[in-house]
Amino acid sequence: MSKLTFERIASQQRRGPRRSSLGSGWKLALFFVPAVLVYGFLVIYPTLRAFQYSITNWNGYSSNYNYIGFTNFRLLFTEDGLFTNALNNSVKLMVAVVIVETIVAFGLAVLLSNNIRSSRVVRSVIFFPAILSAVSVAFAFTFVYAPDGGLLNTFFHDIGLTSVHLDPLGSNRYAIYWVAGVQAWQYVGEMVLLFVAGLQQIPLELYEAASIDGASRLRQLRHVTRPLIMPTVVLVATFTMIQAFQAFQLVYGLSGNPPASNVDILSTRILTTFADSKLGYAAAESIVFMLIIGTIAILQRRLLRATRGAS
Amino acid sequence: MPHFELDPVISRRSLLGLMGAGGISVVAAACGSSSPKSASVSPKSSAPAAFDPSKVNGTIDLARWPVGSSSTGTMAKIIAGFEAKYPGAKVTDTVTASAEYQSTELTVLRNSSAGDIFTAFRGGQFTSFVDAGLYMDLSGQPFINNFQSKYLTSFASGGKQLGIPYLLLFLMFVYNESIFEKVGETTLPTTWDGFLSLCDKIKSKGITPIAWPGGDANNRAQIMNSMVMNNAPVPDMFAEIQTGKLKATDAWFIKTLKQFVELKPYFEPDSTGTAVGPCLELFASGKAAMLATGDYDIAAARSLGATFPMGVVSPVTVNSNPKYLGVYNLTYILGVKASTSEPNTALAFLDYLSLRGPAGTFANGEDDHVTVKNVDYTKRDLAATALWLNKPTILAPNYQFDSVEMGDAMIQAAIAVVNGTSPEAAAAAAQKTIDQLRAQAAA
Repeated sequence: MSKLTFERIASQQRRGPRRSSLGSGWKLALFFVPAVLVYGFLVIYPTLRAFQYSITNWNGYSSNYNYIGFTNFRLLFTEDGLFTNALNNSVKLMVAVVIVETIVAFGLAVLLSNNIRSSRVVRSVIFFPAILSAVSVAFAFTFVYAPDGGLLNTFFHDIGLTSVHLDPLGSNRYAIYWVAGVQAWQYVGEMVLLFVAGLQQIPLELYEAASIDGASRLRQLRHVTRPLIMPTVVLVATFTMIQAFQAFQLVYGLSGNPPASNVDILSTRILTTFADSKLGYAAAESIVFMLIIGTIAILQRRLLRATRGAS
Repeated sequence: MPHFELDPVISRRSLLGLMGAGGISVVAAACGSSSPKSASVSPKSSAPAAFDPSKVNGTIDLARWPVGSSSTGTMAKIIAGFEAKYPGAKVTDTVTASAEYQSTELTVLRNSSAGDIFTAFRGGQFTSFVDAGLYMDLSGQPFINNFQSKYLTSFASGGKQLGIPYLLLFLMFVYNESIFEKVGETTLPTTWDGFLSLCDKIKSKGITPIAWPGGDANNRAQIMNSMVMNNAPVPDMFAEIQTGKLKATDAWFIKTLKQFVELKPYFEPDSTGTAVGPCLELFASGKAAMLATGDYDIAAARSLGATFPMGVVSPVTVNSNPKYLGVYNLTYILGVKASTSEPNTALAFLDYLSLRGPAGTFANGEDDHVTVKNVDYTKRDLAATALWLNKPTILAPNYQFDSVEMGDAMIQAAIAVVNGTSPEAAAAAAQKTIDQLRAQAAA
C-alpha cells in the first residue's frame, strides 16, 4: 500500500465515516422520531401526569378535584401505617432475594460454567421456571405452602420430620421471606446465565498463569474470578433488587387484593389504593416507588463504574 | 480486564426505562383518563320511556365478571334466547376476571363504548359507578316489577332506580349435613353456646369443625359478616365505622374479636395462612364440617367430588334474642349505561333477564339465587338453601365499606387475634388504620 493511500485512509478515519447518500443529520434524526413518540406517549407523558395527580385529591372518576400540595406525600410518610408496612416488606423482600439469588446463582454458575452437554442441560432446567408466568407460579405455591396438606409440610412429614409444621404465608414475621423464596426459585436460572456469561469472559490464560504460579482452585477463585466477576455481580444484584420491588404478580397471586399485611409490598399497595378510588394518593405512592427504583439504578451505575475501575 | 460483550452498564436511556417500568402503576393511573376535568359521561336527567319491542335491533355489549359454575355457557344460552326473540338484536358478552373487574372496570366503562349493560359489586364499586354518573334511571320501566321490591331499595337514589341486583348469595358457613347428623345435631344452633357445643362435638370425632381461608383475600372476610351481625348495636355498623360514629375499639367489636379467639381451636391448623383452595379440599373430602365462605362455594365443593347434602349456617354470637340468623348479599347489580347509543336494545335485554324463564336458566345454570320473582330452583343445593330467603337475615355488613382497605383492616384485626395478639391491641391497630384512611379520604 502506497504512503499516499495509507494517509488518505488515516485521514478518512479521523474525519469519521463518509456521509451516506441520505445526507444531513436531520434526515437521520427522523429515524428516532417513532421511538421518541412512543416513549414520550407511554412513559414520559404518563409520568408527568402522575406528578400532577400526586398533588391532587382526585378519586379517579369525578369531574372535580383539588390541588392539595404535598399533603399526600406528608400523609404517606407520617400517617400511613399501611404504606410504611409495605415499604418495610419491600426492603425485606429485596434484601432476601438479592442475597439468596446472587449467592445461589453464583455457586451454580461456577459449577455449570463449562460448556459440556450436561451443564447446558442443567442450565436449561434451572432456567425453566423463569419462563413461567408469575401468576401460575404463585398459584402453584399456594398449594406448596398450604399449612394443612401442602407439599412442603408433606415433604417434611415424609422424610420423618413429623414435628416440623410450617405456616409460610400465615407467619407475621417470616411470610415475606417465604415469598422471597419463591421469587428466588423462579429467577435464579436467569441469574445463573448472566454469571455463566460473565465467567466465560474471563480469559483462561489468567487461570493458567495462576496455576503455574501454584495457586489453588480456591485462591484462583478469590484472586482471579472474584475481581473479574464483580461487574456481573453488581448487574445481578441490581436486576434482582428491581425484580424484588416489582414482585407484584407473585404477591397478588399468593395473597390476592388486598394482600395480607405480612406480604403487602409497595407495588401491591399502589394497586389497592388505586382500586380504592384514591388515584391522587396512589399517584403519590407511585412517585415514591419510582424514585426508589431510580435511586437503585443510579447507585448501580456508580457501583459498576467503581468495580470496573478496581478490576 | 476482560471485555464484556454483555454490557452490564445501565445507560441513562435504560435508567429512564427502568423508572418507567417501575412506575407502571403511574402509567396505569395516568392513562386512567385523559383529563379529570373532562368527565365523559353525563347521566340523563329523566327516566327514559319503556323500551319499544318493535325497535329492538341494535348491538349491545354486556360487561360482567364470571359467576357460578358454567363460566360463559349459561349466559350464552340466555343471549341466544334473546337474539331469537329479537332477530335484529345482538349481544356481545365481555367477561372480565372479578379481581380485574373490581380494579379497573370503572375506567373501562368511562372511557370506552363497552358495557351498554354492566354489572357492579355492591359497596365501593357501585358507589363509585353512581358517583361517576354511569347509570341510566330505570324508574318506571315495567320490568322493575318482575324483581322482588325489597331488594331494590339499596340501589335507588334520589327517586331514581339506578341498579338492579340480580344475584342473591348467602354469605354464611357451608356445612356438611351428614357430619351434623353424625354428631346428633338435627337442628341448627341459634346461640353462641350452642354453636361452640356443636364445634366441640365435631372436633371430638376427629373432624375439623371450621375450614377458614384466613390467608385468602377474597374469602377471609366473609366470616366477619356473621360474627358482627348480632353483636353490633346497629345494622349499618361498618358504615358508621367508616364515618367515625362507631369505633373498632368499641366494646361490641372487642367482644367479636374475643369470640374469634374462642373459635380458634375449631379452625384448621394455621388457618390464617390458608388459601381457599386447600379449605375447599378439606371440606369436600369430609375432613372439615363447615367452610367459612359462602354458598357460592357449594358448586365448587361439588366439582371436587362432594356428594353429601349441604346447607348454610351462621354462628349466632349471642345467647338470647338474636336479631339475625344469617347473612345474604346482593350482587351482580345490573345497570344500563347512561351514554349507551342503544338504550332500547339494552332495556329490552334487561327486560329479558327479568323474565322467570331466563332468570331460572341463569340461577340453575350458575348455581345462584336470583332476585327475580317466582323462579323455580331445580338444582338440589339451590332448593335446599332457598329456605333462607324467608328467614331473618342481614344484608352483608362487609360491603357497607366503600373502602376495601377499611374492610380489610377489620378482618386483619381478627387474623391478628387468632395469631395471638390481644383483642384490645388488635382493635386499636384496626382503628388506627381506619383513622389514617379517613384522613387520606378527607385530604
